[in-house]
Amino acid sequence: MSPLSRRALLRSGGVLSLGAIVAACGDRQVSQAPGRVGNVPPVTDLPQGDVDDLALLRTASSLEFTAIEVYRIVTAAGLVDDAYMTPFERFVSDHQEHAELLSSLTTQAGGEPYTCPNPWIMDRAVAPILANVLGDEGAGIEPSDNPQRDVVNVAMAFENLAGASYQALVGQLAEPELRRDLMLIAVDEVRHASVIAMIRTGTPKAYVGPQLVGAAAGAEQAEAEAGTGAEAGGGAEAESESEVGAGAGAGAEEDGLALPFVLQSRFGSLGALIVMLGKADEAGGRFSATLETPAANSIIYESMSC
Amino acid sequence: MNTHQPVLSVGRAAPATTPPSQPDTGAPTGADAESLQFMLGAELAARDLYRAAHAEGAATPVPDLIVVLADNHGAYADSLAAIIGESANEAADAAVFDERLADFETTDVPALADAAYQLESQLVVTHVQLVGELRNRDAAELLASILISEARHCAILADLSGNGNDLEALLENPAEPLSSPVSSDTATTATGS
Repeated sequence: MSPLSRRALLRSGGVLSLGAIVAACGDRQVSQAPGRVGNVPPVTDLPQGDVDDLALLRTASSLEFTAIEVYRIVTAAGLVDDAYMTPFERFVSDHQEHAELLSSLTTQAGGEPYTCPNPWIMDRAVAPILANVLGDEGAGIEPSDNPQRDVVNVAMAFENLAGASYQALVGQLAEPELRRDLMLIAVDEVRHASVIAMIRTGTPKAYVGPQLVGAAAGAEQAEAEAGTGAEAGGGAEAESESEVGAGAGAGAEEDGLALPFVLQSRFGSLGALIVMLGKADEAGGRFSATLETPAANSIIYESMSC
Repeated sequence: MNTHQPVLSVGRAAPATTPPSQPDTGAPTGADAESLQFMLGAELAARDLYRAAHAEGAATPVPDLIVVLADNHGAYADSLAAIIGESANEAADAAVFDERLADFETTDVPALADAAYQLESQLVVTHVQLVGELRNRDAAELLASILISEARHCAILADLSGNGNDLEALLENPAEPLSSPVSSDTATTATGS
């Protein structure tokens, strides 16, 4: 056998052996589905159901019960500073009213009200968040270095999430009148978040985020330069630089976490909300959770019950 | 406007979804267009009122706060004009502007904040009402994104007007909607818009 043919044989055998190994290790036929490497548990299908107004109303209810549950847990754990106690009590009362309204709307639409927290959000967001605030010895997670701070940031994030979720549902609801009902609730949620930001960051600093202050200063500078000549433009430039610098520096506090502001964008944002919390590691990094408006995984379909 | 839609991260999509019964997208027409035109005029009036306040020289504790609020309303007006299309009439609503101008032309910051709070509150409830009347989904989504920010304006202005310790003032909105020339009956029965 020539070297060439021996190599060809080895190559052939190698391919066969690799194929045999893959076959021996796997318990399924090769799938045409993309995106999986190795053996994984079978994919769990989502519940079957339509994403109609009924499902969206039930999902909205689940958000209210999620918020109520988060406030209940952190209050019971004694993690709410005195400054927030009265506002948080009011917020819980508002969320209960919202939940009642949504249950009523669900019934009117011919459905069964959903009166529990959203299981997806509880499992994927609330549970890990609380583990990093309270600590979880079994999972090797230490308690936060400042749980009261984290509780405030979490409350702020969930209020903003609720407001953004209702905003997002406007584009999905078929019945226009329901859009109005949900946006009335959304207004409450963003004002809850505003109150939290004002207490947390302090006023007037909390009013406007550095991005918007910087944009206003920049626009004013450009207008001055374009409209009134070099002298006025120079004056505006000097003023703007100090304001932009102050705004940019105002975005973070000493522990590296961003301070919240009432107004951080011109329009209501539907982007993912990231909340950072827990004890910092050696590199200064902290646990972060991403909160998103309802999607297929977090919809409460008609077939689901508490 | 941020139009991010979350994507699935785990699992399979549900096989069937029910699209909204009316696909009303694209340029608004009929009663929808009239309502949006009214809000465009109101937003321009709000922008101009803040500009008048800024020109008066009221010294707010946050530099540029009035400019930020003016810019925001200008951006809302731009978005409304864009969605209305080429028929948009970009003139401030004279009634909204004239009725409030004297209250905005002041250097008394709490008084200015109170006047602005009243205006923002009215804008919010008017937008909320229209969100429930518009047949055009794109327009409803735009108004929703505007009113969310205007509700935040209200909280800021409630505090600035001296009501920062009053939870009711910070959270409640007892305002009446601005008077729209389009009645709700006309708006809810509009078709093809």
